[in-house]
Amino acid sequence: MILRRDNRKKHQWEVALIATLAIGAFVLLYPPARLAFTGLVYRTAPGIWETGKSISSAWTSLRSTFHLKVSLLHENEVLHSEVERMQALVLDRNLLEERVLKLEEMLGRTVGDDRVAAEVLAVPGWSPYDTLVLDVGTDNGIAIGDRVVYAGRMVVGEIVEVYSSSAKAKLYSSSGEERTVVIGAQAVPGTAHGRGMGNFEVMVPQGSAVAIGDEVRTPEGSFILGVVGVVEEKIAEPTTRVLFRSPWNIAQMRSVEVVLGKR
Amino acid sequence: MQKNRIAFSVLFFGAVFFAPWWLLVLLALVGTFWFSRYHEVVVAGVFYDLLYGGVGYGAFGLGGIIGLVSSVLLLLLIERVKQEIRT
Repeated sequence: MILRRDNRKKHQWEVALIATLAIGAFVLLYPPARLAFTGLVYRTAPGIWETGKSISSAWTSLRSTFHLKVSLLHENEVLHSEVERMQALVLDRNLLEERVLKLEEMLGRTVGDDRVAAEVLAVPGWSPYDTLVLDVGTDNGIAIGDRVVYAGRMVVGEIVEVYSSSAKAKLYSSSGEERTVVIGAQAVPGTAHGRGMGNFEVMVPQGSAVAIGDEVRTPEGSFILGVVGVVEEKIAEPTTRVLFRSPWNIAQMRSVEVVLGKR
Repeated sequence: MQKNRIAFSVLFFGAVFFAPWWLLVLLALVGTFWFSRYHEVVVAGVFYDLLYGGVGYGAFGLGGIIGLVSSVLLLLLIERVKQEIRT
């Protein structure tokens, strides 16, 4: 009798599990359902993240009052992160100088873009998805396809989902992502493949003018994707493997800008 | 036991927002070992995919269902291990 009851319970659990799996698969794999449920989740998620941030910073302030050493360590981390951001800005300024020279050649044509500042609510590194969650959405004029940049001209990714007051951006370095780029002063073209968390790989023809430290930019030259870190040349092969990455720690991004596309 | 299960589930779902993925895996392991037939881990996996994933992207070509697939596999594996330990 007890064995039959146990078997019945086990059977009920198996049925419940299969039902949960089927519903989960439908919600995740059927795009309209996924979009609808994600929209529901994103009605409350930004508020929860922002509450978490407030609690975290209040806790940090309280702790630093009583633990000076810990406070100094935290300050050191903040300064380190700021130095990385400044290094990225220096790269941006180099690119800006180049563009200004080109513009001066064209006798005063001006180029600009509209941007919206956004706070990062969730960063990659917390998930294997390489996505950023931002605190701006359609209410701020954001749309799918808008680029996300950091420190001026460092492009990070683009918006893939947008809700009224939040948006999800996919990093260009996500595994499986491909992007046409140009490398260095000679603008060597190539297709960059994402390797996750700000890392990319690109194959260029053997003998290309590519060196460690070269900037990797978008084809129109407006944005920087990263800096070459490794160049693997094998004499017997027709191509050279180039590894480049974002010159800052993606997991420590706290604020970015969204470049509004032309409407 | 029911109160413990509810409290742990609240903590687990909260961790989906703030904890790195490896900590979530640890919590999922703890939950499935500690409680009997902890199907809440599958619901958390779906929730995780909705929060951070999307259609058509994700590592290893899993297309945004990493949370669902991992949670189901973890649950089945741990339940099997628990069964083996009991017998």
